[in-house]
Amino acid sequence: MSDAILRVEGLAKEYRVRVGGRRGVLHAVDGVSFDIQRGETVALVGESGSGKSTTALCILRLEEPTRGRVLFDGEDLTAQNVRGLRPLRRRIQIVFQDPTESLNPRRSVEATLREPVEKHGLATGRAAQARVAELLELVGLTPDHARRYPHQLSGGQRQRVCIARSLATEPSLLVLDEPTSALDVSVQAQILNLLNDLQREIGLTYLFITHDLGVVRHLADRVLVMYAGQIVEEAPTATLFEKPLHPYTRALLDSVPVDSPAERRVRTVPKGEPYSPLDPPQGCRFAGRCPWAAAECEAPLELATADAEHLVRCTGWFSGRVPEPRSEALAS
Amino acid sequence: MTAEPLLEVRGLATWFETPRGTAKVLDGLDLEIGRGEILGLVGESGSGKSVTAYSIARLVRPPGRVVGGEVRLEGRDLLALSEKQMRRVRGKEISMIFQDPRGFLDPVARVGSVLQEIYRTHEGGSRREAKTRALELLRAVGLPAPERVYRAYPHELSGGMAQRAMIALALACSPKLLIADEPTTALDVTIQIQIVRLLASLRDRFGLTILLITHNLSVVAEVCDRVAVMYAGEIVETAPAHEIFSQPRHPYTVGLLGARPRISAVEERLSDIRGRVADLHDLPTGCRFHPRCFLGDERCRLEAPTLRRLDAAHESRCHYAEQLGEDAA
Amino acid sequence: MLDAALPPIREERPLVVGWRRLRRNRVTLAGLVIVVLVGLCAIFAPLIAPYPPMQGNPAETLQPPSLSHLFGTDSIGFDVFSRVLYGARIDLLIAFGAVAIALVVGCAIGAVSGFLGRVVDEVVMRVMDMLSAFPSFILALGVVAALGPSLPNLILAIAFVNVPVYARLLRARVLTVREAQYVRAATALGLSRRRVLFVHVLPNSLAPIFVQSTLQAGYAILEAAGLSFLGLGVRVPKPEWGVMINMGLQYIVSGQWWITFFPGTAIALTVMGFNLIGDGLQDVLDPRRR
Repeated sequence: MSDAILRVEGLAKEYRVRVGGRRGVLHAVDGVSFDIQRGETVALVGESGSGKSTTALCILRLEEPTRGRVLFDGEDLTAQNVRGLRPLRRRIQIVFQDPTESLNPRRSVEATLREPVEKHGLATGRAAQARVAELLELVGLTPDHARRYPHQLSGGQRQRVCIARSLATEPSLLVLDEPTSALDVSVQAQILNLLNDLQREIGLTYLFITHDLGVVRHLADRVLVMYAGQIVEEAPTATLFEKPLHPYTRALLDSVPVDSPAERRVRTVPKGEPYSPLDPPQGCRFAGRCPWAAAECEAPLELATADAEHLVRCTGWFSGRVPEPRSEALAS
Repeated sequence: MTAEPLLEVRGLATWFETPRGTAKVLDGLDLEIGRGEILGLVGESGSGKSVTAYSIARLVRPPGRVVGGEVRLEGRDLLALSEKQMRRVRGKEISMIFQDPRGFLDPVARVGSVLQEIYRTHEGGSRREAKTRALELLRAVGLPAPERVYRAYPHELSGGMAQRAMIALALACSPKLLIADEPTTALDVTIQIQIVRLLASLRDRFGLTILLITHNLSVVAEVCDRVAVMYAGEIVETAPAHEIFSQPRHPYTVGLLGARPRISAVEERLSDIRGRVADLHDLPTGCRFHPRCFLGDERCRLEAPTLRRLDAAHESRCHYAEQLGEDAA
Repeated sequence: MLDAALPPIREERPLVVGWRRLRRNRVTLAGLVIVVLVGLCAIFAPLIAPYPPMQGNPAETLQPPSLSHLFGTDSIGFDVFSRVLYGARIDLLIAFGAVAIALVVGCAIGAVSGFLGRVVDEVVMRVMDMLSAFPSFILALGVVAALGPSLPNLILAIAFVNVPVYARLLRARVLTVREAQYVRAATALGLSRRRVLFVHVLPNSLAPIFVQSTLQAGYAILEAAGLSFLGLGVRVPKPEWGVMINMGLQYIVSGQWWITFFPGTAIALTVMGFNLIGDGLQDVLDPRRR
C-alpha cells in the first residue's frame, strides 16, 4: 500500500460508436482500479474486448481516459497537460506488441536509440553513442547492430531494440503490451528470459498485458483478470492458478491447451464468445455465458474481497451458488 | 497405420524465385497421413509448413513453384493433374481452412450462398437440397443459430463463428482430407479450444483426415495423433503425439518443448534455442540446425543427417537421435 | 544467449539502395535519360544552338528542315531548332518552379492540416475542395488573366492550381502515418509534437509526393504550353514551346509542318520522360522492399 509506484483509480474509457446503424457507447474500460508495488510484475490478462490494452494506453495517456485518475510515483498523470507529461514519460515506458510496426523504418537502430537519450537531455555526442552501445548489450545485441535498419533484423532482434529503446531513459515502470505475441516460440522464450534478467539486474517494475496464461504463470507476481472492460478477479499468481474463483477465470484456465497428450483436462467451456462491452448490462457482464448464472446476477456488483489479497467480482461466489474450484484442474 | 495412407507425399520440391536468388523452400519432402488421423505439422516461421500445405493443394503462386515430387491422394498423383482436374479435387476431395476466416470469405456474399455454391458446383442438386445440406453443416460445426449464420455476411460474424463457418464450407462436399493452416492462431483462447475440439470431433464422428499446421505445440498435444516437426524446409522428426512429447528425439523438438511457458509448472528460465531461424538463401553446411544445437559437433557441420527410422513409428533427422532418447522431455 | 547471427553487411542506407534499384529499372532509367537530356539542352542552349533564338532572318522564312536549319525555320525566319533548345529553358523552369512552389505550400498546408486534425483540418480541406472544383486549366487561366501575362505570373498560376493536389495527398498520408505504431512509440518516449511530425511522420509520408511531383512536372509543362498558346502566358515571340505551336498553327495547312511538329514533340517527349520517372520512383523510395 505504501510503496505503490502506480495507482489507478476508477479508470474508464468510452467510445461513442455506431454499430449496424445503432448508436451506442462502448465501455472499453469501465472503472478499473489497481495498484502496482515497486519491483512487482503485475499481469493484466484478458481476451479481445477485455480492455486490457486500452487500459495500458490510458495509463500512459496515449489514449485519453474518459474518467479516472492515474498516480505515478505520487504524481497525477491524468491531470498533466502535454508539456507536463513529457518529463514524466521518461520514467514510465511501453513496449508494444508488433516490433516491426513499432520502429521507424527509415531510422537506423542507432538513431532510434539515441533519440530518447538525447531528447531527454541524458547525454549527447560521444556519451550518447556509448549509451547506445550499453543499451544494445543490455538486451543481448552487439554494437554492430546499431548500423542496421529494422528490415535487416529478425523479429526477435527488433523486439530487443524496442526493449532497449524503452530502457533508454531509465524508466522505473515498464508496460509491456503482448510483447511476445508476434514472435516465434523459441524467440518468445529468449525475450521472456531477457525480461526476467533485466528486472533483476535493473530493478524494474512491470505491467504485463497478455492473453497467454503460460507467460503469466512464468513471470507475474500478481494477476488481474479482465472481462468486458472490468477487472473480474485479482490475486497473487499462485493463488489464481490454484484457486480460480470467478467463472470466467476458471473457463480461461480450462481453455488453455494441455502441455502434453498425457494430460487430460476437465473443462467447463463457456458458451458464446467474448464480446465487446457495447451498452453493457447493469449487472454481471459474464452472466450470459456463465454456467451458474441466476437472477441475482442482474444486480450491480463490485470487486470484493474473497480472501487474503484475493478479490473477485461475482455475486454467485459470495452467495454460495458458485462452487469451490476443482483443485485437480491443473495437476500436471 | 494398418491401411494404405490417405495422402503420400514423396520428394516434394517447391522453389521460390527471389531477387536474392532461388530459395529452395522445400527440396525433397516426404510425408504420409493415414486415413482418419490428425497429423500435426509443427514449425516456426520460415520452416516451410505453410508452403507444404499450399503445395499439396496446388495453391502455390508465383514467385513460388512446385518443381518436383509426388503428392498421392489415395494413390492418385495430384501434381500430375491438369488445373481443370485439380479444381475438381479442391473442395471435393481436399479442403483447406486458413488462419483469418473473415479475410478468406467474400465480404459481399452471405455465408449461405457461398455454401450453396460450393455444394452445387461439386455435387449438383437443387437449391433446396443445397440449403438443407448447408444448414446441416452449420449445425454440425456447432453454430447455435444456423439459420442466422446462413443469412449473415462475414463481417457480422465474430472470429470464432467465422472460423466455424469456414470449416462448414470446407466440409460441404465431405472431403477426404482437410488441411487446416493455423486455424486457431488468430482466435482468443476460449474460442481456440472450442475450434480445436471441434476438429477432433469431426475426426471422431466422420473419420475426417486432417493435416493441422501450427506453431503451437499445446494445440498439437490436444488433438493430434501424429506429429511432424519442420525446420528450414525439412522434416526433422516424426512420431506419434505422445512419443514426441515424452521422448523427443531431435534437439530442435527438445528446444521447442522446453521453450513454452507452461501454466502447470514454474521454471526459473525457459530453455531457449539460441540464434535465429536459418536463412534459406544461406543455409549452414551439414545439418541445417547445427549452429543452434546444444549437441552439435564437427560431424554435424560436415554431414547432413537423413531422416531415419528409429523404431516402428518414430523418425528423426539427427546423428545423435539415440542419445536423446535417453532423456525425458 | 546472444541472438547474434547477422546477415553480411550490405549497403543499406535507404537512398543508396534506392539509387541502385532505380538504375536497374529500365523504364525509369529511360525517363531519367530523357529528362536529363532535355535539361542539358536547356543548360547548354547558348553553346549548342546555332542561331540566337530571337534573331529572325527575313531571307530564310518557312524553310523546311535542312543541314543549316535542322528543324527548319518559321514565318519570321527564326531557327526552330535553336528555339526548341531555348524553349527547354523556359518550360523546364516553369515545370520545376511551379512544382516546387506548389509542393512546398501544398505540403505545409497538408501536413499541418493532417497532423492537427479536427477543426483546422475541416476548414483547410474545404478550402482546398473549393479550389479543386475548378478545372485546373480554367483556374490557371483566371489567375493569369487577373495578374497579367508574364513568365513569373504563369509560374504562380500553375503553382496555385496544384497546391490542393499536394495538400490533399500529404494530408492523407499524414493521417495514416500518424496512426502508425512507431509514431505512437515516439509520443510515448516523450518527444515533442514538433519532433514527431518532422522526424517520424513527414519522412514516411513523402514518398507519394515525389512520385506525384514528377507527374505534376509533366502537367505543368502542358498547362504552361496551353496558356502560352492562348497568349496568356509567355508571349509571342519568346521561344516557349506552346508559343511556338501557336505561331506555327496556321502553317500546318499549307504544308509547313515542322514549325509545330518539333516543339510539339519536345513537349510530348519531356512529359513522357517525367511520367516514366514517376513510375519507378514509388518502388525506389520504399525502404522496406528488398
